[in-house]
Amino acid sequence: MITPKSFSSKSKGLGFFRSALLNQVSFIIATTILLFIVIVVPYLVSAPEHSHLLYSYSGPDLTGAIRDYYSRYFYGIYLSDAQPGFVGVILALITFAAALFSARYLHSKKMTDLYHALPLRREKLLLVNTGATMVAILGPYLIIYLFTAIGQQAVYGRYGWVTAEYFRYVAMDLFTTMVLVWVVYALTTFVSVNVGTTFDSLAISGVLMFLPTIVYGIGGSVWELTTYGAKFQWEYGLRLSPFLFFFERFNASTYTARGTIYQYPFIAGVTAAWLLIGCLLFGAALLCYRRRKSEVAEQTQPFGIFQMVVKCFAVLFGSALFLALFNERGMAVRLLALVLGGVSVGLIAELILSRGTKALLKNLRWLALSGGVFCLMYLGLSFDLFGYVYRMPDLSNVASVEVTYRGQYWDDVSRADFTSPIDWDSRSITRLEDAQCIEIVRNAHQSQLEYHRQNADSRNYGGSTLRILYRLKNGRTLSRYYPDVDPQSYAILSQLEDKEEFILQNNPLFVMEEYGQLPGTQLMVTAAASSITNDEAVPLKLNEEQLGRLVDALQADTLRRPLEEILSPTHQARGYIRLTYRDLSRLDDYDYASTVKYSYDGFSNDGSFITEYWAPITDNYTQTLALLRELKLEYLLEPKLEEIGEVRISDFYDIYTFSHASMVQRMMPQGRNYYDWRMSKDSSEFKVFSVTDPAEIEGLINRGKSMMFLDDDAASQVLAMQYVDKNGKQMGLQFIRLEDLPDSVRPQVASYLEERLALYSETDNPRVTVTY
Amino acid sequence: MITATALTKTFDGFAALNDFTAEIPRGSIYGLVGTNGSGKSTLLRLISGIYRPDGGEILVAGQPPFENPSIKERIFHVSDDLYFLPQSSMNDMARFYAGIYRSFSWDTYREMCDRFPIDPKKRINTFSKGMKRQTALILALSCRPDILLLDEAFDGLDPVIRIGLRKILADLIADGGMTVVIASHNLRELEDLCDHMGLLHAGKVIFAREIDQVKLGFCKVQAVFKVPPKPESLKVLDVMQYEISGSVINLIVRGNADQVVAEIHKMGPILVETVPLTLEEVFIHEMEAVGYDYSKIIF
Repeated sequence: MITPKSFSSKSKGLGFFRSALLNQVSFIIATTILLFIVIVVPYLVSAPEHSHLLYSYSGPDLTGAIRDYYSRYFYGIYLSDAQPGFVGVILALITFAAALFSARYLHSKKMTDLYHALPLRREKLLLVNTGATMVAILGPYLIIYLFTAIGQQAVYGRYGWVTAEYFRYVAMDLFTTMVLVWVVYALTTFVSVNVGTTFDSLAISGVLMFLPTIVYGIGGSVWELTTYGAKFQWEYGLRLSPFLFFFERFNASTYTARGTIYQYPFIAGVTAAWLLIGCLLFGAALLCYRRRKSEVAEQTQPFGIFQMVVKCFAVLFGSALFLALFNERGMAVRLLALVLGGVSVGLIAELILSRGTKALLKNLRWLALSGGVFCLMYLGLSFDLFGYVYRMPDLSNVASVEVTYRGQYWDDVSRADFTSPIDWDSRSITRLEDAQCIEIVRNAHQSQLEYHRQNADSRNYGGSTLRILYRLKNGRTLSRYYPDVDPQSYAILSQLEDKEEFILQNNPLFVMEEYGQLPGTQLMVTAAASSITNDEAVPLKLNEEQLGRLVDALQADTLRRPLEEILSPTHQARGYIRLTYRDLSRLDDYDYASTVKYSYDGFSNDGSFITEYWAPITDNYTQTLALLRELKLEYLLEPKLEEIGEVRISDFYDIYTFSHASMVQRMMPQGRNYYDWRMSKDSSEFKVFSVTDPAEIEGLINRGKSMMFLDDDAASQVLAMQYVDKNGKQMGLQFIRLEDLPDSVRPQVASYLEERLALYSETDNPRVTVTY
Repeated sequence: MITATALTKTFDGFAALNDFTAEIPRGSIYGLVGTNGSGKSTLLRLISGIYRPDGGEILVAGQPPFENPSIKERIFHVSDDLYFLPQSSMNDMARFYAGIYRSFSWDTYREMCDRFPIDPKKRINTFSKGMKRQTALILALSCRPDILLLDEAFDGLDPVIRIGLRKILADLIADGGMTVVIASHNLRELEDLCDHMGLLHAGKVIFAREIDQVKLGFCKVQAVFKVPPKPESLKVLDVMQYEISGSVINLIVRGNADQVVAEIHKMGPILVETVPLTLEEVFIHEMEAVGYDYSKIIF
């Protein structure tokens, strides 16, 4: 009679763990070497540069400045914001390989015989292998991490730059890295336990690592391609793959002028979700392993559920790929492409995973089903069966609206620069709660839909996009994105230009006042005046009280300006008041200077400079003019006719069509860089006309405009003119209507314009007349 | 004791074992004989707990071995297709097993290393087939299991090693009551070692007997006659096989050898003697007795 003996399972497990760890020696070595290269070597390479910076830096507060500098340039233990992504992916790849290696005994009959004959329960076998793999991967990672952090402290820590932010970053980096490594391992193991060969394990788990992201991307892309107004947030898809979330995790942050603000709670939340997923996958792996038949080793499973998932995904992928290739064609061609793509890629997947065609007939129904579902979805979206395209909220339900329209202020500093992420979309957003403003935006939206209804194919007017987000009173939102803006929509939106809510958010006169109230800022404002012909402004020597009155006057005149005067000015342009804004609290902030635009006229690009604003003054700016008169500074606005030797005139229709079409345009200082070049010579492509008669020049000065609403029709009848002094120095710029040109040049210019406009054929840039 | 009752195991619809019932007594050396695909290796894997039965049951000491570490602790399975840890030496494998099998004996291991001409420090992947098999047997014996399962264990071993191994097994069985189950397609190889034998075909046992009992009822006789008698003349004897070559007849007769010789003497032979009977010859006739055509099963 055999007496079963119970021996210490702990010592059995330890013995097996030692053996399993020894099996992973090659991964330990590979992890150590690779991490050393991507983490430690960059320090060694950049050490001389950092040493130089440390010794060459000077300032009132050396320690504080370096602390500020390095806290901005160190990302935890890393030297760049891309490093954590690469480190994570390297670890994930090693983990993927180690997991396949660790589970390979399941895919070899003779290895299975050895391991499954051992007096160990399968759960213990799996858990011990898992422990050994995690130690092999995370052990070197943690050691190198600690080594780097200690070295970092030893070299740079004396400046006391380590802050709570540093520890938060490090903690989040460690947490997310370890969790994502765990997920990669758990997923690979779960698949390995359920398939019969290492190849199937590699292929299927490799696909599953990215499947959610790709499906999300395909679904989102198809939705965006077929549904007018749809825009999907592709970056969300990066969070659906453990590999890609390594890069995305710290991108979930906001970049402001005051530095990066990491969304730690959000990152932690997503990571916690991944941790849960990893645990569920591993738990499922344990359960499946208990039930796994040893004889599955070395068997392909043509009807296995994992294989079917991957094959159905292949059908979806193939359909989407071919659809993308033929997206510009008619519906019949697109459907054919969708079917052929799904069939061909699905067939390839079937051949590879089933090692032939033996299971093809049986699997055909599932493959056809997945293709059919995608086809139906595509048709449903294409014909807007879900009623997405033309859905608009009732005005009474809208609490506020956000719209990517800033009109004439498109390139000026915005409130978003200081309170929101610095990215193009956020900078171009205006948020409105006023009922009249909301109605204007909704009307523009309506126009956009009408435009779509009448046009089979959308046209792209100079790369402008329109995004509208309604926040409804019931807490929901309705968002639309249009990659081609209907000129009529912009014309309608231009009605916002005289609305106080719009001006307060976009005009630097008001935005910078808000900025100056932010905690910690030391705003310094200086003023200068320029005539319309000059490009250089003369600094105004004003005391604080006078400066305050000047800003108040400008603000009042700006708010009082009628819409018609903005869109189609009749008042005479008088000159500019240029306001320069500096924040003395950022004097030594080199990085800040590069994140906010710097001046066009060569201000020293130190950290304090924020922005400048050329406020266009017309006869209508009565308060401003009155104040200048009182301060005996009005003369600065007067053009010095005797200094002007020439006015150069040329068209700008190509600029108009290239960007910001059908909006209110300001000429100064936006046009300087381009027109200095454009007006300096003739070319075979365009002509520059010259007016030198003093009387005609004076006439041009009186009739030139600094700002106006330009659509195709107006733009075709308006030209750019630049004043040139008697030494040939190019100066200020203005718009001039064709009809306002002197007789000496008008016919030639008109003839030239006809030729130029003929270059823009009806098919590329049709002339559109809008009403506003 | 190992008991299989109506044991069934299928692979993709093919029944490797089909309603298999057998008992392997404790302390026996049980030979499992059968052609390729008869179910020998499958049975061993079921006993060692690698496979789970699809039907029926397999019990070792009254417990199913599948996922039963306390029972598997006492079983060691030497597979026909050997596997060793990558880049390992015999010492490395010994440490591996020592960490898992508490009954592993370093003394036994050292003794085995002395008796077999294998360098324990050399990497196993440099060994020949026979050397690998010796390595596997050394490790198996060092674990001192109560049940030793050997699948084609003697394949590739030279005759000297075979003899040595037989002696070792015999000693271990005599000392410790080890039960050995040996699967092979070679009857002659098992003849001198096993005390029990089972013949498998198409997943079933068609013949299972103690070896002594198998040979007990048969004898083989060779006789020379001036005029050899025809088979009809030999009706008094229970002749299983009659072969004539000139004046010499060879008979396989069921019955006591002395009695058979005495009966043949009555027929006036020039010479009559008994010759050793092989297990294969016994099996042939036993299976014919139960209705199987031996020539279709074993070759």
